[in-house]
Amino acid sequence: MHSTLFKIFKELPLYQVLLGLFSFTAILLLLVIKAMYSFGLTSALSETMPHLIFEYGANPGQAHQSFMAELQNQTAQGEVAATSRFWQGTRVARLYSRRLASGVYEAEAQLEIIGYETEQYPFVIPFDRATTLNYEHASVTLTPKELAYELMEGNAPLIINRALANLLRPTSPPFMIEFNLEVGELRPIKVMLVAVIEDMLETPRVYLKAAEAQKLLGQPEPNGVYVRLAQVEQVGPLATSLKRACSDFGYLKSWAEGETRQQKLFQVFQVVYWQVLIGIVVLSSIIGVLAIYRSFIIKKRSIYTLRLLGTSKRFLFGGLSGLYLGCLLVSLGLTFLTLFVLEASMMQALIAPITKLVPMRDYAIDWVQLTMEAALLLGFYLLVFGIFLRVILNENQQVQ
Amino acid sequence: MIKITNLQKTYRTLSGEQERVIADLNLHIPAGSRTFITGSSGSGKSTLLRILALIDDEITGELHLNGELANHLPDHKKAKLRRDNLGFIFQDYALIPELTILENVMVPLRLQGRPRAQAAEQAVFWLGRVGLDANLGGMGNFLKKYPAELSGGQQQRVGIARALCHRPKVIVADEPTGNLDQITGGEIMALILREQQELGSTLIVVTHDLALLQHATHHVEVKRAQGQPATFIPKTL
Repeated sequence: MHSTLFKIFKELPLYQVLLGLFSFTAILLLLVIKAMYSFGLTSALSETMPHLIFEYGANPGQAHQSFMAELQNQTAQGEVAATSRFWQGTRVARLYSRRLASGVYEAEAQLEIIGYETEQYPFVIPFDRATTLNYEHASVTLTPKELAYELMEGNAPLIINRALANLLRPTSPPFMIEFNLEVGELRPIKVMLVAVIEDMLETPRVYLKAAEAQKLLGQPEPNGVYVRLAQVEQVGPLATSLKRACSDFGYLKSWAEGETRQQKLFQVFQVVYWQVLIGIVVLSSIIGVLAIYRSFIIKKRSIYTLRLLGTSKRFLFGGLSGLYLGCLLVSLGLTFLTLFVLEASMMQALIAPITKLVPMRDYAIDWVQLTMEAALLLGFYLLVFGIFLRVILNENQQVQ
Repeated sequence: MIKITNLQKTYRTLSGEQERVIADLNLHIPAGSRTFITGSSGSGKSTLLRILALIDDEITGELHLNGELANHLPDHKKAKLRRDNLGFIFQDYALIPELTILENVMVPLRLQGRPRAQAAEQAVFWLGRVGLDANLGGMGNFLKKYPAELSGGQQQRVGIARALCHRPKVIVADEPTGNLDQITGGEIMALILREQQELGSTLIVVTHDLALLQHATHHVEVKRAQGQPATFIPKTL
């Protein structure tokens, strides 16, 4: 008899499963977009910024020692890939850009100057992965190894960020620029621009070797220390524990907390993402409830006929609830399976080329919460279903 | 066969007032009789039919079916009484549109717990008995057609097969010829009467077609004035 019941009500489970599949495909699509965005952003930030930035407090010497001791204490051998003290300041500079066809470009700009130590490889910021520029008077770009060599051994090598590159010449590389940098006291330093990093910052920045930065800034003492970890996954937990331990002698922040334009845009995307997600779920729920209502209205006569033929309310209630619950479980099962399988392959595809990267903090799916929400949705659907069914079974329909 | 004692039925109107539609009904329908219930629309015929079908729970009084006090039974026992004792024929045929003709007739048999093959065999037998067999129309298996593909007369024949296939003790027919032309209606009525006689069942027919009274052994006329409960008047034939 259950097969007869299924045949009469087969459209309802079918539509529910289809609706479930449609909704979750849409959600999955959103998830893919979010994951790719998150990965792209994470990747870009990780390759253009130090993982941890510790800014010294009142006593730089002691702060440095305490921080390094704490860092050594909290990390195992090989977990820290590189450290470098940094010198940071802002100066007005005059920029010269010699161009082959249109002469010299000259402008003044407020520049953020960052000095760093490049004696050891790997660097604390992976400059060797920056967009390399042409050799002077040649039309070939530097290879990563040549770039690394230039940064370690070259004559005042200079790396700029995209914001500054746009000031100099707002076109894409490869290009070759040589310019003089002048500070307030007009101390000219001839530097060699070697690469551009896409750090997503709006402030024009230059990265120089520590010695040049000290000269330009007139500041012998460093501002703090940069840290690069071997595994990006450790950035979050280590930042949390170091923050607690080092709060007395300085301020620690991680690149994940950065406030770049892209990160702000990502937050906007996050809000939109959740709104669309909730929209899909709510809309699906409403359509689902309407489908139940419509289905029962259409099948009302069949239910009544079955009752007259000798089917009890209990059988109908149990049979239809079981059928509906079954189809909802199939729908949810399919969704979970789809999410698991597709998510796994998606992650594989994204992680494989960037082996060291993990998604941003908020990416991880909380399956416990998701299961609870699914159970709530299921409960809500069953409640609506039960109410409709009860009303119809208890309705004294007119015998035609 | 059916004995109704002091039966009352009250509706609650939209304004919240209680409206009595049946008051102190006492009715006896003997086994094997052909009881025809006539009356105008809204007089309470269908209400009585629902009560007889044990679908209407909100009644007071007593309804004995086959010697058993039926109206105080729990729903699943009423359902069992219905499927074992009652067969329904409707004006609009009430076939389940999602099921084929054969499956429609199989439903009461399957509800009685008969195996699928046996139910199918019996359904085919009963469909043949009401004049519908697999080769009817010469196009494919007729019994695998859906109700919507049949004419009104054919659908009513399926309805009759479904009502009779489990050999009910009581056949309840609600305006069985109401949707049919005169010739087809005559054929259908003749079919019902013939099968009732064969089975030895009790037949209850609700109709406003007084011409059908020629087939009745008992006649109950239902009258109801505006705002008053219906009165059921047994008539002498």
